[in-house]
Amino acid sequence: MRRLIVLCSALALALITVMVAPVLLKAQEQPPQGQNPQVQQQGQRQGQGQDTAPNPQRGQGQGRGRGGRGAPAGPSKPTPRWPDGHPMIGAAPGEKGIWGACCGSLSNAQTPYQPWAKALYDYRRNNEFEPHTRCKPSGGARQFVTPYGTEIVEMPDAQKIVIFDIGGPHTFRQIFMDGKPHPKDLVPSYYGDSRGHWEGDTLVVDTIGFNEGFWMDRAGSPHTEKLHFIEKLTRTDYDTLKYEVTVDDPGAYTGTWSNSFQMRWGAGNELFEYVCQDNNFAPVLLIGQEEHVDRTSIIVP
Amino acid sequence: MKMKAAFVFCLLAGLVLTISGFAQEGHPLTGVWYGDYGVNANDRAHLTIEMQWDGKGVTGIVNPGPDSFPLKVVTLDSSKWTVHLEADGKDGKGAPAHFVADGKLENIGSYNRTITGTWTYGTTKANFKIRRD
Repeated sequence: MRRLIVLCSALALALITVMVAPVLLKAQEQPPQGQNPQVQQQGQRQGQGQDTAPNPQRGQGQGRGRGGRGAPAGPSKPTPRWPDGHPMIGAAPGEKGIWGACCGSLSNAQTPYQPWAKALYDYRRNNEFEPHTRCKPSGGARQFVTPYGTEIVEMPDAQKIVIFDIGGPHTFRQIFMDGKPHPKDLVPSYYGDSRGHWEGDTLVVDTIGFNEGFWMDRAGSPHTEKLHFIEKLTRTDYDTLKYEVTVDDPGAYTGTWSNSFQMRWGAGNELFEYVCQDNNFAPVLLIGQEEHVDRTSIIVP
Repeated sequence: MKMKAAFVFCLLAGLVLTISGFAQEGHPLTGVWYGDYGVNANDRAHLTIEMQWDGKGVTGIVNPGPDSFPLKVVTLDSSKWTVHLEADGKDGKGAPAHFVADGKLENIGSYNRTITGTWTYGTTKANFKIRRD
């Protein structure tokens, strides 16, 4: 009998947790308006930009809180390199730093949408009901679109690179650098399976195995499980990371397409604890015109 | 016995929560849809439709199980978010019937989006509503 009580209590606790979550998930972090020129140029929508979440780095005199804003004026230093010669795309040993946001919208006027994908993209422009803002992990370029920056950690000994972002649900993406191919029969996941290699000074990351539970950019470019995402990261100087993306998804587009962006280095900035569920304060920005959507489900959709 | 029942219940509840937690943000028709159709509120037949986008077209089956039948036609007009379905199967009383459904996709941004419209079989014109689960 006691075990029955324990079991039911556990179930009740789980249900309560899941039921309360949507109420707490009012909205998620939004880039502050005008504070990231790159994102503004590349398709930020009207109404975005109300950053209401607390930033522990503010007021502490450490950098200026975000990747890209601590970059010094004037000519940049040269690209830092590892002893083997390839560029460091993260902080050098003993340094601190993260990359600023980029690539709010991957697509552009030339993006070869399938009709349903274009219609869905247009719909999302007016009805922001993005999984990321409900604390779901976001793969693809969306991982680089948070107002607090992104940290890239190179782990040569482990033959992997790890990407952390602040503003998501405390998750991370691994890029395997061991030269092995993608596993067969991948179970679709938010970040997919990323395999990287160096082509000169450029890190090329090939990712497949995505699920359809996220938006691959902030603007809502649709994708399917057929998505093949190719990223090229080139640190052109100390303060600049060139980020090129090629999207190959025959489920949503009639051809492959590409776009290119830049991220700025935020020297001295660090990751800080960001609990997504505690920092959602922008419900209007989160759901746009879809305020009628039933959010009382015990499932965070 | 009660322990076993409670365990099974907890297991199933956990499974449902886990499966339902995976949102689907790809093609709007992909997924499993539940609902019913009928000529009035009192005369309804259960309806389950599973649809899958393969990159070029949508395929699917109606009422998966021993009495399932495939969808012969599935079209989505994304300019109006209207859906057209056709299938040859059996009606709620087991009689062969050709089904034609025309509906409107609503709450597209929601995981639990819906399709409502007309559901015609033979000379009978009914209405239907299905909700993505």
